[in-house]
Order: sequence, then structure tokens, then C-alpha cells
Amino acid sequence: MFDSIFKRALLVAIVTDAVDFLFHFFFTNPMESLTYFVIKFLLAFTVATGLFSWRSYSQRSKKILIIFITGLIFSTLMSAYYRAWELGEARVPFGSRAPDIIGITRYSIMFSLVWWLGHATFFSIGAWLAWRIIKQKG
Amino acid sequence: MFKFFTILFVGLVLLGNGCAKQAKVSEPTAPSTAINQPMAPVEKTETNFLPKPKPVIPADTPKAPTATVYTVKVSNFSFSPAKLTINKGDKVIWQHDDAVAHTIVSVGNFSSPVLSRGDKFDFVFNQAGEFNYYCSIHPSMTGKIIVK
Ligand SMILES: [Cu+2]
Repeated sequence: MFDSIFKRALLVAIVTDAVDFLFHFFFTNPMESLTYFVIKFLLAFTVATGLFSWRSYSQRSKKILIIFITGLIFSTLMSAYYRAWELGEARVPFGSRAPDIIGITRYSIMFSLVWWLGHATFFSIGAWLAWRIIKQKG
Repeated sequence: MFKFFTILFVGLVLLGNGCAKQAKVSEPTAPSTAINQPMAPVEKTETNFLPKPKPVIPADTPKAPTATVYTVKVSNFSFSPAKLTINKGDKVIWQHDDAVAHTIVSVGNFSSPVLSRGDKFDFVFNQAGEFNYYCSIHPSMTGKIIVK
């Protein structure tokens, strides 16, 4: 059982990072740093482990909704990390870490929404794949 | 459903790279133009005609008056020019002109404070070599100064 949870979480982390990398590569400027992807990987792995080891997860219907809500939690945690980094460690203006997204002005609610929903979606894609591909034993 | 909206709200608050907030924050950082101060004395030395012991200087070092000042623009999440070749003793001024804050950091060599629009940072390169630098907020923003 733990073996499949581990595999699923690993797949989620890999997919989340890979899709995010592609997004950054094609739609944002500048590219994110290695540290960013490492932190994202670890966070995705942790949140996914939580999701798949949650007892009632396997009993619930509406799995896709649960997956997406977990994605939103993941995205929120990632944002919390960056806001903390900006205000605490780097002491830079609020929001200045986020790269520009091509075609969306950074001074709109759309900009925030795209980041938030985007990161949640990348995680959800990974979690959905993990759920479909890796069968949970026990 | 309530849970969903709670998450939605928290997420929006956290993610809100709000325009108003950022604008407010970047204004107080304007005093960081204090780093421009080193610029003033340099200009003075060029325009200052008072010290006239000139006949002595040309004898040994003819390189001092040839120092050039270069400007690198910091805008659109990039340094322009990203690669610059200069001579020993030349000065480089980074001129920030972007909506987002950036820094100029070359580990072990120089490090600027957080710059916002209108701010400047400068450094005189007295040693030959290749100086790679980056923005510590956006590490993918990189540049290089080659000093001959
Ligand atoms: Cu930057």
C-alpha cells in the first residue's frame, strides 16, 4: 500500500514539475530557478502523499473534484511560500517574484488567477494520471 | 462547497500580485537611489578643473582619463546589453526601468539593493576578468561583464 502511495506521489511530483516547466518555457518570462522546481517537487510530493494516504479518498465518489481541491491547496501553499520568501527572506516588493505571463498584464486579477489555477491544474493533471495509472493495493 | 470558497478566497489573497500594493511598496524604495551618490563625485572629477597638477600625471599613467561609463538597462525582466565588454577602470551603471523590482548580484564582487523604476546601481571594474551577474529575485535573469 505504501509502495503505491509513494509511486503515485512521485508521479504527481514529476508531472507537476514537467508541466510547469513547459508552461514557464513557453508562456512566461523569465524562466524559474532550479530551487523553485525543487521546492515545487517536494511540496507536490508531500501534498500528493497526503491525498493518496487519506483513508476516505478511496471511498469517495467525485474523485476529480477532490483532486482539483487538493490542487488548489497545493497551489495556495506554493503561493504562501513565495509570499513568505518575498516579505521575509528576500525583502522584495509584494508579488515581484512572479514572472510575467505572455499576454496577461501583471496588474490584473487575471494574472493572479492564472498563476493560482494554473499551478492547481498542473498538480491535478499529475494526480489524475497517478490515480488512473497506478492502482492502489491494499 | 464552503471549503471550496474558503480555499478560493485564501488563494486569491495570497496570490494577489495586486497592482496597488506593489506600486505602493516600490515607491518607498525610491530613497535607495542613495546608491547613486557615488556617481556625483565621479562626474565632478571629470568636470572639476580646480586641481591642476596635471603636468605630473601624464608622465606615468595615460590610462586614467580613458575610463568610460557604460549603461545597462534593466527592463522587461532582462539586462540590455546582457553581455558587455569593457576595459579595466570603466564604470557600469545599471538603470532600472521595469514594473517589477530587480537586483544585480555578482557573488563575491558586487550586490545591489532591491531596485525599482528609476533606481540606479553602479560599479567600477578595476580588475580584469569575466563577471557573471544575475537578479536574485529572478535568477534566470543573467548578464555578463567582460573586463579586459
Ligand atoms: Cu529580477
